[in-house]
Amino acid sequence: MSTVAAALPRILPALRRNALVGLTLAVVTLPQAIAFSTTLAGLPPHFGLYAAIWGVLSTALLNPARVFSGGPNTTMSAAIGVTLLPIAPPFGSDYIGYALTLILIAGVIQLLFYLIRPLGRMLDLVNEPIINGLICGIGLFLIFKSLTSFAGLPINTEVEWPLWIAWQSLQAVLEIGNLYAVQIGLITLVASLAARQFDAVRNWAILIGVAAGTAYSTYLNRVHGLSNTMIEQIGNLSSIGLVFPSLPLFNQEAMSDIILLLPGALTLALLGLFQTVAAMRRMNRKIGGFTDARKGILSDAISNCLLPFLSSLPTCASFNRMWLVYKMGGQSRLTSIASALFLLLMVLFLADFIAVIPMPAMAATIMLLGANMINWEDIKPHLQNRREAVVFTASFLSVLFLDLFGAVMVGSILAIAYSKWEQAHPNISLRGNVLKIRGNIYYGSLPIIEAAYHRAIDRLDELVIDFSECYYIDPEGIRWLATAKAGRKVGLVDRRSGEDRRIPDRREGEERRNAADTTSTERRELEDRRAGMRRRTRDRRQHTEF
Amino acid sequence: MDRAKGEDGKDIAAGPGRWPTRFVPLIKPLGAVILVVGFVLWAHVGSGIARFHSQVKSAPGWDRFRDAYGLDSFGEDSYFVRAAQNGYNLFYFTHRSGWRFTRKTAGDAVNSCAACHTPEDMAYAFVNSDRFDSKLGRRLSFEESVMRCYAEHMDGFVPTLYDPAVRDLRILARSVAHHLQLGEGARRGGS
Amino acid sequence: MATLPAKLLRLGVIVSVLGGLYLVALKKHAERDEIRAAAVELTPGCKAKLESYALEPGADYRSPYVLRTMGAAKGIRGYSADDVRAIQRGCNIVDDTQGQLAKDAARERWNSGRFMRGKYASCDHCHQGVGDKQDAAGNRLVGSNGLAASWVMADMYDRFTGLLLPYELRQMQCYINSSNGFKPNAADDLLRDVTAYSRFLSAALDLKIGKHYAEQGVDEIPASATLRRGDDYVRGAHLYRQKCARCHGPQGFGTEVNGKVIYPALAGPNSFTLDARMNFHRVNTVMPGFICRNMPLGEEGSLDNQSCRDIGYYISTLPRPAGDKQGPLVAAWQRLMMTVMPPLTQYAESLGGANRPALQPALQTED
Repeated sequence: MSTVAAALPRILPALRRNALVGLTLAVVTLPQAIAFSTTLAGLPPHFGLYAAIWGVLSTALLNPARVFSGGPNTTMSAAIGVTLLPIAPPFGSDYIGYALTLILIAGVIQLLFYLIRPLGRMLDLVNEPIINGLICGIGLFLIFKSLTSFAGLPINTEVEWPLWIAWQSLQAVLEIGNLYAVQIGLITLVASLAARQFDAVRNWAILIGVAAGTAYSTYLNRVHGLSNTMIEQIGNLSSIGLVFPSLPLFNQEAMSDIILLLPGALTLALLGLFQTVAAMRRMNRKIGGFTDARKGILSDAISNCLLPFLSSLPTCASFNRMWLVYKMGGQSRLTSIASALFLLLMVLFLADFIAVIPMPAMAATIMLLGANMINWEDIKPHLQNRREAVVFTASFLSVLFLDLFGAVMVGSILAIAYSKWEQAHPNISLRGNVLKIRGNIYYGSLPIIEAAYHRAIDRLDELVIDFSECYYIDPEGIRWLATAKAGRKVGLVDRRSGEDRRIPDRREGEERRNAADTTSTERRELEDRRAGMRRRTRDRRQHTEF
Repeated sequence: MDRAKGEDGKDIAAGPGRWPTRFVPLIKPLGAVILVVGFVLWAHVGSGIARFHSQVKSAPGWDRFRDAYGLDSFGEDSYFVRAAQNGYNLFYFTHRSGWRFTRKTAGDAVNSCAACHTPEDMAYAFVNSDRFDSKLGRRLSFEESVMRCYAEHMDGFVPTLYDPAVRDLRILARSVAHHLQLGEGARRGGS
Repeated sequence: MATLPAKLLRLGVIVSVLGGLYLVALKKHAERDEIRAAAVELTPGCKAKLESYALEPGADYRSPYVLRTMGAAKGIRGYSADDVRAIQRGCNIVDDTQGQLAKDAARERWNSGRFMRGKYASCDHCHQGVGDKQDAAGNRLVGSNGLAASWVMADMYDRFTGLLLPYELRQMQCYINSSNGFKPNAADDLLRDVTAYSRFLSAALDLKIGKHYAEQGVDEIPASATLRRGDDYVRGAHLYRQKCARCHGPQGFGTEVNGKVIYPALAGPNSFTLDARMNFHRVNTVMPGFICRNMPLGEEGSLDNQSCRDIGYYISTLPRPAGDKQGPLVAAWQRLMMTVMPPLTQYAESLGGANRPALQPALQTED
């Protein structure tokens, strides 16, 4: 006991700080979690709350990184809503069953991505422009999707194209929307935006907006009566206890619908994984540390396999939460536990206040979050590089013109194509009679290289191919080099030996070539031993003679 | 750089009886997984909390109701009949099935639709819906009346238009109306 | 970090934009209330129909149809003035969806044109007789897409949407199947008024909830009603040229005179989509059934079952717009096909050589 007492003055400030960060997190997450589950996913509010409590706890437990913070996520909730809309009416028990099944299948797919390493590595290929394009497109989509619940109107079922339906939703809001709901939504929007302008309360802006909306809605209901204003609210939460065990739906008769859900499950899994990997990558970049993305994938996968049994939305890492925790100096595990505990207390004791939060306020919250996802500071750097701009725009437009599944597929294909494009286009420069190749010589890049090579060799008598900055030469590349060398006009040089061959040597033919080869091999071996690196030594003399 | 290995390929440094070093980094994540799985299992089995099933639960009196109102004409078990069964649960046990939209509990006197209405009331209300309500000055649909009832008389909240808590009451009303062979605008007692 | 005046300016701009939108919303709501309260100008077809059913505000309603057919009519709950107007508007929408006979189409038809492709489609094309087709003796025709019969059988499980389909959503499907990708909101007056009209019809015809009536839907023609000689689109194309092309056009694009649609399109950008149930590929009994019951106009019942199936099959092979479910790529492809294929085939056929009867000249129309 005495050791604990002695240690207390050391740990207490840290505990206090983490508790404060946890409280901030809880307060920030509460309206968002409810909004995600009611407006986006079409699930009762306790799904979002449990995601913010048990989801956060399980990811904190499973991921040992210093900064890792999982929680309910806009994109994943939107994916659930979009996938299930044609299958069952929202909020019903069969809808909930299908949602649980969907999340479970997504979790299993994420587990596959963890167990099969190459799959996990492919996620690293999804680079910033693609992720940002998807996120911006989804941000816009969120704004459109929340228009109908902003005005208390029923959503349109059936598959729809976001842009098309957005204009109609706006007109429906203007023509037949519930004016009381619109007023509440507007007040929430304006209050949040006003609060965001001031740094002191920036984190609390959404909560302030929701509080303002709730206050106004309470006033309206008192004056006109709820049955006349017909404002939808969160609903009774007092039956919600610590945990609400649930079973996903796996009936024989539901099998055809579950099979229809599979593309949606893949979309859900990929969206979660993309965001987790990207968030961890950004976090590594910003704070200079390193956490293996695989750990994030594991915690996501296990959580999403188990959360369906706890009536909860799926989770994935959130950069905003992680950055908030880091800036406030918290330690992610403790803050996650603290935030989960605070949320649990809030749910248990403040259920009556949460119950009267109006849905238009939740819709306004979603609109604000969607608008936040379109961040000009993040977009600008991508537009400066042509390749990144193309990939970003393609990713962005695919969300708006294809559905989420199509967008995720386009994003994945773009990721692989982009990385391959980079690889297949080495930098080739011709100065004097030296053809320098910076990049890889392999079957993908050979057409470009050979085109440049043949253009050069037609003009010049002698050509030196400098592959000092080639990192990888595959067998096809070696065969090409052999053919080129056998043509007798060509010299090969590897400048890692230290000699500068930009000004070609006047020595004649074979002599020069043999000298260059020997020197380079010897020098290279010396350097290797010095550097202590292991390297595939290749006796170039032998290989060039077939 | 390679660790010294003994003859059987195991790390010498680990010593006899200890975990091989390969497995040590796995202990923590595995422990965490076991903890989380254990919590889920406890929640389902050990905690005694009722589990959520997506299929409609059978409530007392349903079979009698089925026979009395001839719901078998819609099938012994069908999508429609399940919706009607959910409507039955909502109608008679609102505080349990529709707990999201009402603050009433088992202890309250008026805690379900059945406290004030009979199924026949619902059927007649259904065929007389979509009419002008002079008190409100506008045409009122059946769903709207149900939503207003939740808000006002059940001390509750307004469900969404397409929420099954509203839709299934309509389905129930329709099936009872079918049983009573009501037409549009039917009045009680005939005229 | 922006300074305080800049922040306030930004906030001010946002508030004024939102406030402006709110004022627009107020104005549009007022417009809608005004339209709801305004007297309704009926189309000739609706005038006749509603008069025959004696639709008037009152405490009681007794249907003349029931009186005529049953000898006595029970009084049921009467309609108020608001209800009557809603029913009248609904009737107008069914009879003349695009508002071609209206003075101000957008106002009087609740902007239905916004949700429909082109100016062609009207509910009355399929739901003939303003949703209540009867023969001269006043008997309701079998399989005539009666709206009243659909109302009493609504809320049933629908396998195309996988849901219990309420009446409003069934209407929405109709808009979707001939729409331009937009659809009205489920709470829109457009749907509620047609629901009101259908309910009135079921009151006037004394239909009971949940009972099946013969006029519900289409009198379908399954393969078992034929000699099972196979649905042959070549035979269908031949019959189409003989009997259908003179009204619906050789390419199925319909006939339009003075901006008014006389005969609707069966193919091309103005016709129903791939998702529609009239598409033989989707439900291979609806289009043939419709043809056999209602077509050709003036010669109803002259075609045998197999011929109807053949013609239905042929029509469904003609290019038509993609439905909502197909997505933008299929939509673009269908659009390309609709633009490119008809002139190509027309040109190719004009080169002659095929063994085909000459096309009948187009029917002259009176108006």
